[in-house]
Amino acid sequence: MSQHSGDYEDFLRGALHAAVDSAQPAGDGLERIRARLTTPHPLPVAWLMAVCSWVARRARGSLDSVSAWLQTVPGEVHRRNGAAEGRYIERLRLVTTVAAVTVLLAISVSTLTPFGRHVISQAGSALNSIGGGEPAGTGQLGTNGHSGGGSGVTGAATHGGQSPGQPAATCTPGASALAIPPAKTGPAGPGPASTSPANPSSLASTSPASPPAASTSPASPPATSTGPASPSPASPPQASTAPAPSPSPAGSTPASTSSPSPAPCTSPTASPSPSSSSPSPPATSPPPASTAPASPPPASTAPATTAPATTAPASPAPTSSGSVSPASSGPDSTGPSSPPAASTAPATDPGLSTAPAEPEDSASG
Amino acid sequence: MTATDPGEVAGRPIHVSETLTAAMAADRNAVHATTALYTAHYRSLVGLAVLLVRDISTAEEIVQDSFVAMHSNWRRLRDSGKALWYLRQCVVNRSRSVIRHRMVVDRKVPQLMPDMPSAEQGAMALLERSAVIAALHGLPARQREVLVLRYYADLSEAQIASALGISRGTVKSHAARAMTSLREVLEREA
Repeated sequence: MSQHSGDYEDFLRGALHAAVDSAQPAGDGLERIRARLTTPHPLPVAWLMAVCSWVARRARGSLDSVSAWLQTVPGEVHRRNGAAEGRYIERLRLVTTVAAVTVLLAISVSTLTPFGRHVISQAGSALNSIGGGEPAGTGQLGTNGHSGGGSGVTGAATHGGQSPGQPAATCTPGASALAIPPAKTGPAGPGPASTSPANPSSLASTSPASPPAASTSPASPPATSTGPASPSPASPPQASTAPAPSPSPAGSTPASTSSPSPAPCTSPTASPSPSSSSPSPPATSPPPASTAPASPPPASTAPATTAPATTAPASPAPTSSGSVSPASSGPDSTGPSSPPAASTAPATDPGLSTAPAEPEDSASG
Repeated sequence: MTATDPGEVAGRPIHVSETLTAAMAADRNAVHATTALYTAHYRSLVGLAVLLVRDISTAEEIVQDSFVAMHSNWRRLRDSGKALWYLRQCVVNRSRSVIRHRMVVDRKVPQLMPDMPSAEQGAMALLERSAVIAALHGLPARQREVLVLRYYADLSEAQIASALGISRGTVKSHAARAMTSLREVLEREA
């Protein structure tokens, strides 16, 4: 019986593999992923967040000093003028604190609204233009990648869809620089021999100093679904504010470029990777050195065997015991559950949240 | 942009770019990992999704969405070695959602004319040639997922349980029922 069952299992295994072998995926999967990742959010938002954190730290320090000073003042005033003015000073201190908190809160909230995003994107454009880069793309913030299952449903309609009218995307240091594997993009599935993590040619395009390439962002369901009022489709200001003196041909027409293959980032040190679909010159535009003090070294100098995850820094998620967290809590009901050792994310990340309950259970028979 | 005020953070100068540097480093790691995972596992993940949703283009869309999600959440992924795990779970969850959505759509959208095969049907025709695949898609969704993960992805029962968010016992029962049903269907057809 067990022998028969084993034979049957082997038969089923062979049938499944045979069925999958007949289905060949398209070879441009990585380009599509890269195109989705180049939806412009990272550089302006990263800059804004860095500036905000810096401002917050300074404000905290200033408030501390002011608070300390105000704490000393009432004593003297109290001695001089009595308790009435002391109360007045205390009230003043309270009002000052509340006002400062309100201002910080307003700034934070403004980053979440479409208008705030627009302002952020324009600020990013201005920063880029100051630094000699290209304008930032749309004002789309925070593409968290969770498109939900609906994107897959509409996959037949939007499959491969790179709408030519989409604005230019900023080629950010990390997200936009997915390199295409040199030899073949779709190797045999679980075969270990085909693994080539981060060959030098693919690393070369991950330079942070690379200028934003004028890649067309495809019809990206995740971004559009998460940002309902995002001004991304109609945000010509980013493109119009392009004073970028970049000699890159892609950069000269940031918004009008509608090439179906997103131009990868061109690093100053980029080796002529075969995957590069745009023949950009090696040094297209200088990195915004004056405005980007944190510009990391070119990616070509990075070792090819960089451990990808061990340096995941500054996770804002509250760390708890890394437990398996099947994801379904959150806006993206189809969000994946995190792997067992993945850090538990706050509720904002459905993909890594710790909620084990899956609403998809209802789909099961 | 350095704050040198002594009273701020332990006398240490505060650089605005620290956060940006960390973000860039994480992005670079995510890029490398995504590229490596794509090279090694993209096709198998597409195969997994194809077996679940029966549509190659949708399967590719699902897998690409999963890669995007993994890249976006890379900083929250503590253990990069679990990235494949994350991807697999992502693919299964999204495939399930696609099937659910497809069921809703099929209820509301009028059927096509019989002499007008859709593109999806054309893509599915190849898969449907296999009686095993046809019988597999006659199973309930959970049983189908268990079988696909067990016999295509070659996962253990514990791994399937973790990926699907169910217990091992449930995995066993689903697998046993699915195999029984599959065998009955195939023997009936034979």
